[in-house]
Amino acid sequence: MKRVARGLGLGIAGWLIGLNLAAVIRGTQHVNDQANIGIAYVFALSGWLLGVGVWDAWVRGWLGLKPKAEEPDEGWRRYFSFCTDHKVIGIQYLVTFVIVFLIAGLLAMFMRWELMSAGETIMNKATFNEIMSLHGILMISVAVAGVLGGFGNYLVPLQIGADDMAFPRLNALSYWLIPPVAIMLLLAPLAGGFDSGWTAYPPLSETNDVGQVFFILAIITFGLSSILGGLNLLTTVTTMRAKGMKWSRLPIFTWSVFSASILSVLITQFFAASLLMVFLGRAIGMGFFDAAKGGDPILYQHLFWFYSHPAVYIMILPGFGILLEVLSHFSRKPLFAYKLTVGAFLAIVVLSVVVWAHHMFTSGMSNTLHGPFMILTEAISVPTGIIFLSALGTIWRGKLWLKTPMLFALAMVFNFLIGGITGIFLADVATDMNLQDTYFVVAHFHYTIMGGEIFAFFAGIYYWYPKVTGRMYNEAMGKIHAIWMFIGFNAVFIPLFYVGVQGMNRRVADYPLAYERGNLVASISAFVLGCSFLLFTWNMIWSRFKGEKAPSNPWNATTLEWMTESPPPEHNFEGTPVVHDSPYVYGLEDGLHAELGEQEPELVGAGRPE
Amino acid sequence: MAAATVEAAGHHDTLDPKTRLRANRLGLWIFIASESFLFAAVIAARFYLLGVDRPEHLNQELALLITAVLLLSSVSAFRAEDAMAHNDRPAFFRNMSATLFFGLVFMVGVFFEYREGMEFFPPQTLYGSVFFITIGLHAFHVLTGMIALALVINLAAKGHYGRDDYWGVEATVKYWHFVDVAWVFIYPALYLVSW
Amino acid sequence: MTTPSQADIAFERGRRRIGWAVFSALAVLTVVEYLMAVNLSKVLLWMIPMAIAKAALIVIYFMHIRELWHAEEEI
Repeated sequence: MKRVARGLGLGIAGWLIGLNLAAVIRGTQHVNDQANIGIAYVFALSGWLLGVGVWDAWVRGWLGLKPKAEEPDEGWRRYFSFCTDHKVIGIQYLVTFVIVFLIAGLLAMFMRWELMSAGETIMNKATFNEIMSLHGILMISVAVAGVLGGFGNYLVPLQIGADDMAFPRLNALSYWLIPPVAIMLLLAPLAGGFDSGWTAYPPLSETNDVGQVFFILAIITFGLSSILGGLNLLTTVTTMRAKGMKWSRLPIFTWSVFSASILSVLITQFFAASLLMVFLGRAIGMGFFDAAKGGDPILYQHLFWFYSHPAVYIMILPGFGILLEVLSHFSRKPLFAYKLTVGAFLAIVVLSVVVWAHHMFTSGMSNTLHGPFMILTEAISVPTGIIFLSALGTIWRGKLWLKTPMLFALAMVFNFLIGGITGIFLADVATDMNLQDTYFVVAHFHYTIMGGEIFAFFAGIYYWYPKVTGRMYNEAMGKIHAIWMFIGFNAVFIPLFYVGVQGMNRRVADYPLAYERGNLVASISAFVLGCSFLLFTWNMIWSRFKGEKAPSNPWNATTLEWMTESPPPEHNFEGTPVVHDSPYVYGLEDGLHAELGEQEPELVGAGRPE
Repeated sequence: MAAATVEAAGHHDTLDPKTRLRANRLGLWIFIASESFLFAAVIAARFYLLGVDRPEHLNQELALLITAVLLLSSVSAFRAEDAMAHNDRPAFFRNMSATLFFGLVFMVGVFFEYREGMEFFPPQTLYGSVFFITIGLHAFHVLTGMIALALVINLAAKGHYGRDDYWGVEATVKYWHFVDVAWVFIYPALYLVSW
Repeated sequence: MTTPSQADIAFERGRRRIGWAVFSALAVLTVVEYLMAVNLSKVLLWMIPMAIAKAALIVIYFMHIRELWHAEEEI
């Protein structure tokens, strides 16, 4: 608590000092000078991080000073401190990103309100573009970090039988990099906002209002956070597995987090680099994307999509992980084709970095690239199809237990099917020429990420709610939420496919009268969908305090996180976990995934099989 | 930023020292892999925008000189790490200071490059954009590496590190070598290629 | 703080040789690169393997990448 306050103080001080220092040194008077804002942000970020814990956790050690003994915060205060417990950090991520999700969802409601009828309804076109951009980037951040940062942090150490992450302090750092991101993005509208969408294509992003600079600085920080988080997850899974936890015995969710982390560690740098180029173009007139100086805006699209296409797999892979986990536990059957599925995850990791230019078929890039990128993009549907088959094979002839998480998982199977099939038309050059930049793309993307990952996110929230909070959620409310959200979601986006095929452009506040009926249906459905989250929020808050006490294993599941109390004690396990078999031993005679051995108080070693 | 991955055995650490070292090393290697993608991005931009054209005015002699200095600094860094691994502290201080000195010489060289660049291809031109972002990012990494070297020398002078516990030295030296590896690609990309 | 043993010193001599051997290889490659770039044209295809070779030398001999899969080995 104290540290967060200190961080805030130092952050604000850093901002003011940096802004004035830059103005004096560079001899500028204009407050909105963009280079000065960049310098001020570096100062502010450094001040914030030093105050919030970097000074105490690292810098004192680097300078050879004595470590300062500070009373650690207890109880709820831990969530507002530089706490290194992976469970606390997981909850920090989850709560933060659920809140961001609700804010961004509210923005979507305003967009649908505006689009309910043709013409300007409640806002002007510039405001619409800003709201659309803010909705986009906030939701992208939820999709990138909600599952990976939240569930990844909370569950991966538990699932592999470790007592924390490999680098606990680094883990805390990667969470505490998020508040500056949120603050900068939410302050951007005060600085004129940014209206270039979450993709921030130049030349628009090089010439629009100063809000764009806030966006750039925020997203570079966010990239740093994802890189550090991914690094931590990869190292943890590689070096800290419990005894007997071979690679072939890892729970599928851990595998999916591992695969997504490989991507996030490597490619995020490309987004940072491309935004740095935009920033330097704005601040000191560098000419990367300025055609007048010989630059090429298409370069931005290449760099950007080299990150952002694999980024959708950073989003969806952990979603698949939750999906398969939930399907297996609630079908009471071993996961179908486990090894093939892991292979498919890794194949996606490799393939996803060579398909980026399918976002650019109409950009004016060289025509010779069209064919190869079309074929590679369609090739990626093979590993995705394997994952899909694994999901279906797991349900097939299982004893389905239709609890809330299972309802969300089944809904995701349906939604992702539609998302995947409509993707073929966008991967194919001939059809994409017509569908590019229409609501067909919007609907396709929302079917994969919202219908896919976000449904998996909610499946995960309900599935692990008892473990995380120690209380059961209200099952009736949960089931109503699942069905409500499923119907609402489909009712919003199926009409959008329809108007998209007819040619309605995305990212515009207005449209011809012909599209009005489809938009009216979508908007009304959107409000219905939006209301479902009120029920969800109520369920979460009410159950946290009034819910039934949860047993340690309410689902009779086999993986290691269910072998400890709910919520787990600080060191996760009362004994030392020893793994004997695959994690999905349902229906097998004498199947035993893991057991807790004798407590070994001193040290926990590496889980490498001898 | 490299030093951010230097996770010394902290108070809550329950890993045995061997696993801790493996984890530290793996974490640092992953960080290095990640950073190499940053340099890959700017080098890719160079080839995308300019093909293999290079401007007339490039100070080839100076570039060759600072390349040699950076390579030399890698040798001294290598020997400093080895010295610490065998408890040879005088050799450690000698080589570590030499590394820091070479780093300083490199930065001075970069400063002259910068001045000449501002004259012949300012950052508002296309080659200037590519040149300054690449050199700038690399110089930033050299600078952080120098800070890390200075911190490690200071800690060693206070009696930290030894044969069994020199992760801080190892990490800093690895990071320093990585800066060299990045230069190995930047140097031909900015100065040498032609078609 | 202990003084280096005889074995350490012998080992150190061996490592020193490796350090200078690698440096010589790097220096030769760099000079070749430089001479080619100054005197010839169309050198891109030669630069790529030479740069990769230099990077590989540093990564293998200076950065000990083998420690990632031979954890127990002395650096």
